[in-house]
Amino acid sequence: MHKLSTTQNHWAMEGRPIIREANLDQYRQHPHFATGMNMHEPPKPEGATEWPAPLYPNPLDIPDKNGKTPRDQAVHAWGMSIDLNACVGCSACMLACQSENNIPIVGKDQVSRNREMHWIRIDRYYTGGVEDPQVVNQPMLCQHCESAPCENVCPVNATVHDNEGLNVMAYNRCVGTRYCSNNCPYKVRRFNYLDYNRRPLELLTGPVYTTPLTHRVDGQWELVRWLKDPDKGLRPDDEWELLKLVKNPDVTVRMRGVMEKCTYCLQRIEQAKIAHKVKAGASGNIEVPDGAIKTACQQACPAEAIIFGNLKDPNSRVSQLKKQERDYAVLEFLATKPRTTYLARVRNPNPEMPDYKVREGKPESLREWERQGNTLEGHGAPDAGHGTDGGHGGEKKGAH
Amino acid sequence: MAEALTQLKLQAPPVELEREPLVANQRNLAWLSDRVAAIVEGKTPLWWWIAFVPSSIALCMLGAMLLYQISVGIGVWGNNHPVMWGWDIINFVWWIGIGHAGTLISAILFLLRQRWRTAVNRAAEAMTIFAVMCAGIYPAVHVGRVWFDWWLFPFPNANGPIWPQFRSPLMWDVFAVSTYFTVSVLFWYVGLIPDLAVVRDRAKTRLRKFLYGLFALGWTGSNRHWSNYEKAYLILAGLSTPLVLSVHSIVSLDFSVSQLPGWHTTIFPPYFVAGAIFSGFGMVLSLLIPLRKWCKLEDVITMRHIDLMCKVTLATGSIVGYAYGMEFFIAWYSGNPYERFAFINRAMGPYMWGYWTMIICNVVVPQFFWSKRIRNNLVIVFIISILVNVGMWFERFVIIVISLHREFLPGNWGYFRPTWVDICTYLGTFGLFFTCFLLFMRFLPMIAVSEVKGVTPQADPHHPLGGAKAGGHP
Repeated sequence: MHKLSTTQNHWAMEGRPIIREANLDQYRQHPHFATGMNMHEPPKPEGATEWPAPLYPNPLDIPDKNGKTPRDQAVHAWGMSIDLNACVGCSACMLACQSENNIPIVGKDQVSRNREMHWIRIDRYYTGGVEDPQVVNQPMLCQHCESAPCENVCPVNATVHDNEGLNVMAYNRCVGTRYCSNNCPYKVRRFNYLDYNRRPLELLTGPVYTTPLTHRVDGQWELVRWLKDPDKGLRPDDEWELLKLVKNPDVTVRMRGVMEKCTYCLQRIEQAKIAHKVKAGASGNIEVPDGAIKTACQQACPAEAIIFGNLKDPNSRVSQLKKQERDYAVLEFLATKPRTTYLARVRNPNPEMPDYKVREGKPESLREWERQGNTLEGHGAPDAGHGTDGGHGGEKKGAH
Repeated sequence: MAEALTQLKLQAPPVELEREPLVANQRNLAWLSDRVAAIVEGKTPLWWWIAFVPSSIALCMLGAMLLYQISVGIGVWGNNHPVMWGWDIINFVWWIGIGHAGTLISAILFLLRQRWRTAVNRAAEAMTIFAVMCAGIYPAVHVGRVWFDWWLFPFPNANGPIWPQFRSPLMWDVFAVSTYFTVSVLFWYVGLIPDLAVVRDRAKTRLRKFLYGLFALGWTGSNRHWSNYEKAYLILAGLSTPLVLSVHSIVSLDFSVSQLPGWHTTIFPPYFVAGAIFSGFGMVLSLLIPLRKWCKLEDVITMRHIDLMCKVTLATGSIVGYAYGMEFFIAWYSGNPYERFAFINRAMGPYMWGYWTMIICNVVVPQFFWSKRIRNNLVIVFIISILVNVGMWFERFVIIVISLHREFLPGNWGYFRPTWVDICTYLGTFGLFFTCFLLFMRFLPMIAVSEVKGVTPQADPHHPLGGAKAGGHP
């Protein structure tokens, strides 16, 4: 029997509004269907300044000595919009990200142990019956939550916010408790369970792994070699030198025991900022123009489904996209205020086709969600500004 | 007037209401010293070697497993992407929970003047210390870069300075567990001093005299010594009492501070404390039932002691059962579909075997302790006490693995399997525990002799057997 390894083990959406879809008819009837699928919130308690209140503090709203918040002071507020209507699930973004960010390839055995390292992944769900399912895809990456659950639980302050809204990882500070990943609702953090960069693939198979205490490379005990030069890996020298050419010199290589995740291509952001500062000179206009920064996933996306940019600029493409009525945040009820939001998918099936009637004129994912006792109609007034709550407060504020 | 007073003299209570004495068979004080010291002074019994050899082999295995894991990485364990914590944290919480009975017996029962505690407190405190040592290994080695563990401590440093994140419950754990360990060791040692002096005074070899004398700190048994000792013991009991409640509350916050369905609940601190005492008493029973027989201590650790400990197990087990029910009720009552799913998944999901093992061992089995006949049957009590700790292991498995393996986005869902390293490390911690415990009972007085003497009938001057005449010298 041949064993297959997959990066995803469960393909049903379980009626959860994770990928939100409507047919053109429903979209016309309920233009705000995407936020209409948000979880029902209990009424706002008296005296609450923010509702729904996030569980964890929002570092962007904590004022400094002069009473100014990082949100006010920052020139940029980075954000991303992903159009699920455009995404075809081709996985080009995954490959681009892997090469850009020096993400290790872990091999079949580690993938079968659910330890792949992708910073962006394509979640694929099958909806409807087994006989005639519908397929939906969703690129999932670090959502850069403003009230980030991961930051609050790290005992060593290894994951923190910068004032432009990036949730940044200090790899050097990380000791690897993995609590951040347990508390990440999107599970987009990846842990270096083994020294993936230093080990060739044949040393990445269990159940008994090679230990540097007993392993010999180039005719020398690995431990002795390491003591002489800690920069060596469990690979022969020639292979190790060749490997260096594969890596992106602008990005670090993480060692074992360290958590890593999407940075919104921090190196590209910094390069653009520096370049623009040089260009701006004495004029002092250091705001990076829209479109100057493209994340690796965005650059590779053939459908232009991924748009990254500055939310402080109301005219930037990403700000415009986030103003669309299709805009929604995944798991908005957690009130983590993700900077990455999605544009809901609208299908336009031919009503003459036989499956249209079988599906009652609705996408299967919407039917599954309705089967849980939800309706688009019964969810308050769909146009009464659902978009201002939950995940969107942050961006809206940032845009002013 | 004097005649009236003599007429008021109360009658002795009827025989059927009299409590069983805490030391059975009218053993006198000399017998107590001889019996307890004999374990330390006598020839090593065969059963001790039969228990010690496998324990020390398992301890060596623990060392080998940790060396392997630290030199290769966390990847040698079964932890994977959704289940980032596996047997490491399960066993941490399990061991530290076991440790709780010792402090409860030694501190809270002392403050509540439960005199029966004296026969079991020394062994239970030793159990606490060794269990906390086993527990402490896990948080230290479960991190990806063990050599940076010291970053969790707040110390002034040249790097900025960079402080730990005081909002993280893992940070609180560092304080909670290290305080608990320190106070437990101090409390245990202070209680040991008069008994170390007993062994010192009886020592026949120079080395024994020197070593026991060194640790007895010059104890002479004078009134001043006793007075200072009693005060110190009371203060330490007072200091330890909040720790019984705080340590496992903090450990429970490791989970409830997160936002994961199944972890983020307010019931956790009291529920964890009850569970910890439950498992701790289970372990005390598992240890003492064979030991009292092998060390011929049936007259000191009497059936009444076993009976009382069974009752504590029953009470805490019922609290735990109530908490399981309440968790389900709140998951339904919250109206949050993610919460509801997390609990339905526990009972009906791919790990349902784990959930139902927990329910049977923790909720159903202890209910047998309602029957006095079962509480008096040592074989059944022993089996139930083992099942209690099996159940409590599965409780942590349910909380950690079952909550993590299926949470918010179904695309992440996975399945956790332990590796051989997980299993051998866990068995290795038993090696550490039993090696320490066997060494303790062989070289230190495992019964608090001086305290037990105080609760014998002979110690009461009004007792027919009491006073100097009947050999009840202090």
